Amino acid sequence: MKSFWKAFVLILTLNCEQSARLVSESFDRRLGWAERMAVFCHHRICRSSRELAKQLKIIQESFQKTDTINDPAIESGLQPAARSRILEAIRKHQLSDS
Amino acid sequence: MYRFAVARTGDTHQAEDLVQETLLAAIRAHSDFDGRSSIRTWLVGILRRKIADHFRKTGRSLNITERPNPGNDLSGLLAPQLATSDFRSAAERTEFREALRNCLALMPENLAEPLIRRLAGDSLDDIAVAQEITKNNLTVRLFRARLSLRKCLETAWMGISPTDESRK
Repeated sequence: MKSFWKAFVLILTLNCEQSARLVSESFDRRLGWAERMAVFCHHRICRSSRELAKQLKIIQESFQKTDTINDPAIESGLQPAARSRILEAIRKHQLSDS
Repeated sequence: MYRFAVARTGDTHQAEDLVQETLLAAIRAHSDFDGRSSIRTWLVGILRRKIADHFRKTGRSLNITERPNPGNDLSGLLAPQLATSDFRSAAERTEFREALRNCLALMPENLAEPLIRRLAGDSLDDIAVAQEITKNNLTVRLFRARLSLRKCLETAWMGISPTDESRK
């Protein structure tokens, strides 16, 4: 019953900033039912927050489509050839210093 | 570091060069490292300066009218000026990625790095440990980073200048 009232209060009092924060958090974790309901109700009455949520989602999706971030070759880090090239440059630098 | 550089420049070869330059600069300046921050933070700080130099040299900073750096007042970031349909059609263009990277490159590191790592699939726990902040603090940073990124895209890339906004 206590959690029901907490949820009820959240739904009634959620403001634009809190709504946007929950939308952001929804990209990182699954929101609880009260949080989802509060965001849903807020979006029904606030066009700005609804548009903001859609645009944040578009940005999130375009990142997921961006091959460079999720490319397995990049995920695995520097390729061996690049690694050797960098090590060679460091060796040369150390030799020139000594 | 490599992943960070790729996310910010969008160019794997350029990212390799930047990592190399960073490591060489770090070796040259190793006596400056005072151990107050982790070595990773120190290296990323050097890398970030190298990335900024790279953008300055190549003139890719575009028409950024304001740095994507939200202060405590987020009210200006909560109300989109651009219709979502326009935003969506812009996002389908290839230049949108470029604009994303430019905005990320200009964003303060304490906001950009958590966002880049999160988008690369790192867990909240891992990022919070690396950033030496609490998980709650991390979600606030991610929230601010996402809001400021959206605003940056709206103002810098989509050609909505502050004057245009005030006219609406």
